[in-house]
Amino acid sequence: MQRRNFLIWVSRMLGSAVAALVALPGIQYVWSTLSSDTSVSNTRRRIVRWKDLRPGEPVQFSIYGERRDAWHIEPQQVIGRVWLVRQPEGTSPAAQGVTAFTSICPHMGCQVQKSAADASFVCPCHRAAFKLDGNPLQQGAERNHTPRGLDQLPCELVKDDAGDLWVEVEYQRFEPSLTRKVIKA
Amino acid sequence: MRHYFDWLDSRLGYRSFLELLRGRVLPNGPSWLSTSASCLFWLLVIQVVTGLLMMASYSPSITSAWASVHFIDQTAAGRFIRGLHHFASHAMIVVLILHVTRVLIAAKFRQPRELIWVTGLLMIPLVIVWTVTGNPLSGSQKGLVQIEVEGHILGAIPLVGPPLQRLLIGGDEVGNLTLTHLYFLHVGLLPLIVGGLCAVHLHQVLRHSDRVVVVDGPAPLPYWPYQSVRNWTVLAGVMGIISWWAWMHGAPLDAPADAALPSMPRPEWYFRWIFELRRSFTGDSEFLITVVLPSVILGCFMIVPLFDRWLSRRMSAVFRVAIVLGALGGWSWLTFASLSRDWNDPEYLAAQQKSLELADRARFLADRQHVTATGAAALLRGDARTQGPLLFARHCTACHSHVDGQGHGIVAENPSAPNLYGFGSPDWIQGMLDPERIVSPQVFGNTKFKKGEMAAKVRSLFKKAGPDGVAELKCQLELIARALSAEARRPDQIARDKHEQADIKQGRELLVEVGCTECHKYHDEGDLGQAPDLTGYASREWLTGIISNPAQERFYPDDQNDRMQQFAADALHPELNLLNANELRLIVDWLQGEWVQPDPPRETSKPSGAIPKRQLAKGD
Repeated sequence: MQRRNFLIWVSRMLGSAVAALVALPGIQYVWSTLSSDTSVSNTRRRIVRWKDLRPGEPVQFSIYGERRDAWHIEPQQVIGRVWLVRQPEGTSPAAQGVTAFTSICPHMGCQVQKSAADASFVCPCHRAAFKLDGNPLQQGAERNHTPRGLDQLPCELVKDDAGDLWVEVEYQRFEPSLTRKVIKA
Repeated sequence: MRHYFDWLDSRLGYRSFLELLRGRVLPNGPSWLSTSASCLFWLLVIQVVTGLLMMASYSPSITSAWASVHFIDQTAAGRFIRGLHHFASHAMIVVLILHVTRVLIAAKFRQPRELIWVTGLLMIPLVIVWTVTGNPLSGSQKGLVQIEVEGHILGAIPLVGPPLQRLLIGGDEVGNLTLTHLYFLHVGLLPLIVGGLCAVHLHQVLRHSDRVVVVDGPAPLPYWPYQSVRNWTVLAGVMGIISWWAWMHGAPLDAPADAALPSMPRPEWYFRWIFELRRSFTGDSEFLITVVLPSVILGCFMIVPLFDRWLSRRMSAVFRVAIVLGALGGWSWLTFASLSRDWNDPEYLAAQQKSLELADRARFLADRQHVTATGAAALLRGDARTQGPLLFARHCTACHSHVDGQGHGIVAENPSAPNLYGFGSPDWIQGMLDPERIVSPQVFGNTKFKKGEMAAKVRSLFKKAGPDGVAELKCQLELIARALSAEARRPDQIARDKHEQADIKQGRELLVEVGCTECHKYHDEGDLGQAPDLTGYASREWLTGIISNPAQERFYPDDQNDRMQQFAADALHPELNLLNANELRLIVDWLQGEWVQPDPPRETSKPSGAIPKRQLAKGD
C-alpha cells in the first residue's frame, strides 16, 4: 500500500470513528422513546355499585392510578376513562350484566362521547359512531370511519361483604386504527 | 467611516456580493409577480426573529407550556409578537403556494433550474410540518388533541407508522415528551433543514440567473432598486395585514389541555381538503388519503420538468395552466365542502362556542388566581363554573334538570325529580309552598312526594285560609320562603339577606306558627326523622350532606328516600364513591352559584364620578 493511500484510509477511519462516537449514542437516545414505558401492573378497579347504574344508560367513569409522564410520576391521576352500560332489563337471561368500554376511539384515539340525540356513542373527531353494545353504528349514507367496534374491557360483577354487587373493570389500552383489537404492549 | 467599510470589504469582499445582487437583471425586467420570493424570505426571517424572542419565555412541559404562553401574552408586546408569529405562519403557507404557482406558470423550473424547483416544492411539506409542530406547543386543548390525531394518522401507515408516531409523541401517550419532541423539531431540526434547503435554493437561483443578452433597445432595469421597491411594497402590505390581525386579535389560545373537557377538534384550514377526502375512506385504507395521496401529488409536481421536456411549448403551457386550475379548483371545492358541513352543524357550532368560553374562562382564572406549579389544567379542573355543569350532566340528569325560566340550562331527558335551578332561592322555595307548583314536574310532580304529606299540608293550608285569606297566606309563605332562603347563604343573596333582616326574622317566626316544624326540624324547633332538616337548608353544608348520603336521618331516613343515590356515603373508601371530595365540592359550589366571578363594573351611575378608589372599596 502506498503511503498516500494509507493516510487517506486512516483519515477516513478516524473520521468515521468520531462520527460514530456521536451518532450511535444519538440514535440510541432518540430510539429510547420507541420502547414501551407503560408497565402498569394492576389495573383492575372496583368502580361502582351495580344498583347505581341505570339500565341502558351509559355512564362514564374515570380510572385513577399512578400516571407516569417522562420525569413526572404522580399518584391518583386519571389514567383512563371507561363507559359502563348496564344491559336494558329483560334482554337476556344473564340479565342486567354490565359491559365496559374504553372511552378511547379505535379510529384516531379521541374521547368517545355519549350522543346527545339517541342512545349511542359518537366520536367528536371524525364522527365514528357506535351502538351501546359497542358495534359500529351505520348512520344513513355517512361512512363510519371506525375500523372496529368500541374496545370492550374485561368486566365482572363482584359481591362485597355487605352483599352489594360491584362492577369491577380491568383497564387496558389498545392500538388504534387496526381492524383487529390488539392490546398495547 | 468609509475607511472602516473599505477595511471590511478588503477582508470580506462583501461589496462585490452586494453588487451581484443589485446588478441582477430579471429577464423581463422588474415585475410585481416576482415579489413572492422575497416576501417569503422575509416572512421566514420574521418567523425566526419572533420565534427566538418567544423562546426567551417559553417552557415546554405539560405543566408549564400553557402558563408560559399565557405569560408571553401578558408580557409587554408579547401578545403582539406571538400574534405576528402565528399569523405570519399562515401567511407563509399562502405565499408559498402562490410562489410555486407563479413558478409553475412561468415555467421557471426548466433546466438548469430543476433543483430550484425541487427544493422549493420540498419547502411546502416542511413548512406545513413546521406549523404542525408549532401549534401544540401552547399546551392548549386544541393543539394537543390535534397532535394526538396527527400522531395517529402517522401511526396508521403500515410498518413505519407506529415507530414514527412514537417518536413524534414521545411514547404512547401525549405528555411532557410530546412537547419536548415537538419543541426540538420546531426550533431545532426543522429550522436547520429548512435553512439548508433555503441556502441551496437561493444559491441555485443566483447561480442560474438568466444572463440577459441585449440585442437592441434599452436593457431591462436592474434589481436594485426597481424590483426591490416592489418587493418591499408587497412585504409591507402583507406585514400590514398580519400586524393588524396580531394587534387586534392576538394569536388564539385555547383552554389548557385536559382530556376530560369536551372538545371537537378540527384540522387547520390547509388540511381541510384531506379531512374532506378521507370521509369516503375507512380504517386501514385511510392512510392512502392522509399520507399517500399528498406525497403522490407532491411527487407529480416534482417531475413536472420531465413532462415539460416531452411536450411542445404550447402543450406544456396548457398542461401547466390545467394543473393550476385543477389543483386550485379541487382544493377550494373540498375545503369549502368541509367548512360548510361544519358551519351547518349546530353541534359543531355549539362545541366551538363552548371551547371559546372555556378558553376565556381559563385566561380569566389565570389572571385572577395565577397558575400554580401543578399546571394550568388545574385552573378549570378546580373551577365550579366549568365543572359544575359537566358533573351535573354526568351524575344528576338521570332525574334532575337545571333549567331557568327561559329554558336555558341542562335539561334532563326524563326529569323525575325537582328542577334544581336556583335551589334555595326564595322563588324556588315558594315553588314548594304553592299547591299547584309543588305537584308540577318542576318540583315533586314526578316523585312519590307528589302524593306526600308536604303537598297535602300545603293544600290544606290554602283550603283553611279560604278565598279571603289566600292573599294573607301567600304573604306569609313569601316571608317563610324568604327566611328559609337566608339559610342557604347563597353568594348571590348574602347582601340582600343583610338588608332584609326584619323580613327574615318575621319569616322564621311564621315558619313555626304555620306548622312547618310539626314535621321538619328547624333550629331548636321540631325533630329529625320525619322530613328533611330545615336548619341551614340548601346551604353548602346541607347540600354536601344530602348529596353524600340522602338516607341520613337529617334528610330522608329509612324508606322516605325516593330514588336519590348515595354519592359519597363511604368515608372509609372515598375511591369507591360516585363523587370524590373535590367533585362533591365543585357540584355544591356550582349549585350554590359560588365561583370566581369578574369584578362587577365600578358604580358609574353615581353623579360624583370622581370618588377615590379607596373610598369605594370601603363602601362595598
